[in-house]
Amino acid sequence: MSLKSTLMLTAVAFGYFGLASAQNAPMKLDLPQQQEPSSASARPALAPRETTPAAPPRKEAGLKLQRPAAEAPAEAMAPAGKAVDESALRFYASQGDTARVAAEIRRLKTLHASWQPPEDLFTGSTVAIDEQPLWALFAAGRYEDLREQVATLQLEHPGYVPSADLSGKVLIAEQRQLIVAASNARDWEQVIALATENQDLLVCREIDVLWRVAEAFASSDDADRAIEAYRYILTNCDNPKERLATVQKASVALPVKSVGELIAMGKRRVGGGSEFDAVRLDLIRRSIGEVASGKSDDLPGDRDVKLIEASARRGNADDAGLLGWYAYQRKEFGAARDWFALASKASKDPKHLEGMILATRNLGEIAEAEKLAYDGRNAGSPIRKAYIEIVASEITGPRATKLLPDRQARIEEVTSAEQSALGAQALGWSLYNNAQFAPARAWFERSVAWAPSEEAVTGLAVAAQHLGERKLAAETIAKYREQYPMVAALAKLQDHAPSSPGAGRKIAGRSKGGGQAGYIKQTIALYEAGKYREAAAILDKHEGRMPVGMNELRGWAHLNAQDYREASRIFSEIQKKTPTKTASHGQFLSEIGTRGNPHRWWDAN
Amino acid sequence: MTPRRSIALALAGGMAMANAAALAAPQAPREVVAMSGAGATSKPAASPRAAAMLAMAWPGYRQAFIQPEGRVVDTGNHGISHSEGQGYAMVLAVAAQDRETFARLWDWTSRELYIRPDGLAAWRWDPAQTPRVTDRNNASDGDLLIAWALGEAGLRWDVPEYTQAMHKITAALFSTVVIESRVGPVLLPGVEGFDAKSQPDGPVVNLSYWIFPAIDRLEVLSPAQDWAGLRRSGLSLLRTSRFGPLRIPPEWLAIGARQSQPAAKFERRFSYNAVRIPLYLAWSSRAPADQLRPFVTMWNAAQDIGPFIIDIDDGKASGSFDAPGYRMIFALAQCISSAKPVPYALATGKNDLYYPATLSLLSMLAISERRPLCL
Repeated sequence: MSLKSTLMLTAVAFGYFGLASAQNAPMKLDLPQQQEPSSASARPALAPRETTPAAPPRKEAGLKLQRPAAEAPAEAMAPAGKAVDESALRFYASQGDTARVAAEIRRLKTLHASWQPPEDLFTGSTVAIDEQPLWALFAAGRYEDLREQVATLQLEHPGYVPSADLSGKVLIAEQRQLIVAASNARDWEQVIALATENQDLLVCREIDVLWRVAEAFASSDDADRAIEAYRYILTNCDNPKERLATVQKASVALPVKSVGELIAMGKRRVGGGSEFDAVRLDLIRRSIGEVASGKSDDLPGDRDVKLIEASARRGNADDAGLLGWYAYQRKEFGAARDWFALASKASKDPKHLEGMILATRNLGEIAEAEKLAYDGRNAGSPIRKAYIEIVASEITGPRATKLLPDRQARIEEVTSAEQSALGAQALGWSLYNNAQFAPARAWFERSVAWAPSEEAVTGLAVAAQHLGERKLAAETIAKYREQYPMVAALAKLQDHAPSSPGAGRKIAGRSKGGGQAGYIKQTIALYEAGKYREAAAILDKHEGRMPVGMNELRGWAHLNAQDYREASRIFSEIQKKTPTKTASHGQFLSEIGTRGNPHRWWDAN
Repeated sequence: MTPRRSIALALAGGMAMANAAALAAPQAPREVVAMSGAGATSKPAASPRAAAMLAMAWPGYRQAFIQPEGRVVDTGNHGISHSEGQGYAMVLAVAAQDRETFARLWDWTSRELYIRPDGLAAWRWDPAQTPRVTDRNNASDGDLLIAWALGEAGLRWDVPEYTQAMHKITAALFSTVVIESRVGPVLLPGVEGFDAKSQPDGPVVNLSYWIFPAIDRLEVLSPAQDWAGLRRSGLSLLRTSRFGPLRIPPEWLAIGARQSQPAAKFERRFSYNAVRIPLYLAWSSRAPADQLRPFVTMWNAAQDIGPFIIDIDDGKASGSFDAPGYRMIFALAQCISSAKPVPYALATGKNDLYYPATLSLLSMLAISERRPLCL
């Protein structure tokens, strides 16, 4: 597992979504007249037609969203002259008291001769239909089917209007579905538009909708309104899990400072501490993580770090690991190793071991790192990869020593287990450099089979040549010369001097025959003899007049002579003119050499 | 479905108890006493109280509204008579086991009203006019009631002539006023004036002419006709007859168009016709109870508000059904919907006029047959 994914864990922990619970009685929706013509009108009338009935009073006010200014005066457009007080009438109707409704209508008509009673007093209450199958569809979330079914029923029973209970709930459910869909599609504008039209959904009972609306504001750079939404929840909603999740979500969506304000809204606990302490720690973890992953240079405060350190010492392995990466990023490898060691003690998670191996290696304790990695090889693929990367540079690098049988067996074991093209290739070169061409060829072959690379293909070609397998060599070169410059260079050298290897330290193991310029033959001989400084000196004299492959050999000669600056300069020139992978690698190694540090391989993973 | 008892048998039980005869008490549950409500006197009622009350009320009714020759007088309508009144009285007479009165009622009815060649009754008889029958049109609900009463009487007293008369009337109904429509067979209110040709929005029907208890019984007594189809159409039309702000059915319903509407050329009200709809629904064993829902709330029993004659279009109360007999119907509906017993005082309340008095007795009969616990 990589550092990045480690840090993601924190975010995953935040991804705890409570299910929206809609267990309460539905609110009657006050559908504005100017609603989009998209759905409601084209569909069978499922919407309750009542607009201001004697609905049960709302328990909570709901989050208020402002409509866009253009639509604001909607209320002022109510028909003038409707001064008749229908409240009693509505009340009697809501009680289903037909007798009193009729009497009240008579009274109102006496007072206001031209007044007509509303048509919707008893909507939905008169044609009795068993709605159980409709509720079943509702429960299954099959709202389209439900609408169809209602349309069919209305054909059969023209007076039928679904009960206010059902239609209210369906309407809310559909709007909720739309908001969720828009939110999942990250269409924040649509989320906000829908929410503005359906403010009855903006209540604690619909916490998921509230979260999505807040997220929509945060994601459309309207932090103020996002904070307002989160504040609404923390002020009005009581479910402890949902409150905690709210702050966790806010801590992902909002800048740290705003999250701090929300955390401050947490309730004091009886035994000390506060409701959202956990989030506060997560927030600190986040800022530590951002430094650790190189995303931020803002170091968290010492007091904050100490909180996490205390947590790590109490046995929180993830916190220990996090501090390990934090120290590692700041090149405090000793501290990093200690934290990783602590983490490894508390948890078998291989990423802690991986950190420990890296830190150990960066402390220069290569043998110890190699041992750690080998001993932990069964902990997971990342550890085996780390092991192979360490030994690969050890057995092919400038200070490479001859492979001892035990070590070779270990490397072969892990390389085979991991089917590592890098390990196979490194083994190949190590054996090649020690004149064990047949086993070298075998490892190069495996490496090419597992994942062809310039180094492995080149190795295979030169090893085959060495073994007199010209056909294999020619085929290999022919197959890969288009793909890899070094192979192409090899082909060119072969054309001029069939038996002579060309460029690179890895192909510098052979020099027989001599149809080429004298200095080339001479320098290759010197290089093969390990007299890098001399080889470099001769090649330097021919600077600007030699084939690309020989110029690269000049770079390798300087590198092996530990003249990193010059090597780096040469490789970088080659990179500018005729870039090759090997030159790139050479430049990388020489730059690492300049710094005096063993190179790091694995963050690329 | 509960086994049916004939009205005659139900009443027989009631009368037996009323006379303190030594017959075994019918299957009246004990709760009758408890459910009888605040209006009950201290007299313990161990029998179907409604049947007993009906039996006791019958002589007074007969005395007030039935002339010796067998003519039922509509005291609220200038003393006229009509086939409906004859029919109601005949139904009640069978239930009260008053064979002699039944005979006089049928005798007068067949002689004075069954003067149409098609076998149906002329609907209106006016003692102040000559001839007495000036409008020879029929009223289909009157024919339906008379047929039902004849069928029960023929069975009860084993008089084949009554049964034959019933068959004649039911056949005549189905050959003249029962017509096909988009909802199946429907009952035209009369031979003349209601079909598609006579009305711009016709056919026009009257939903209170679907006497569901009569339809239920005639399905057994006169199986040659499609009574089930008639019941279906009535229930189906009722379901969709919800108009105006109060969503209530009108007196007269036009069914010519795809969707029913209050008939254009009739008064658009819930009035003296439609008030019987809840009675018939409550009385039937085959009508779903939820059909009663729009009617249950037309009387606010707690504050005794309503029931009202209501303008369909604006829902306005435009008059009161001002007698206990009307409220009986709504009390019965409320008993069915919420198990609230019919107040004893209401059932014994005085109805001066023929129509509410009749409705009161019909309600008692319905209770005794279908809902003994309601009283």
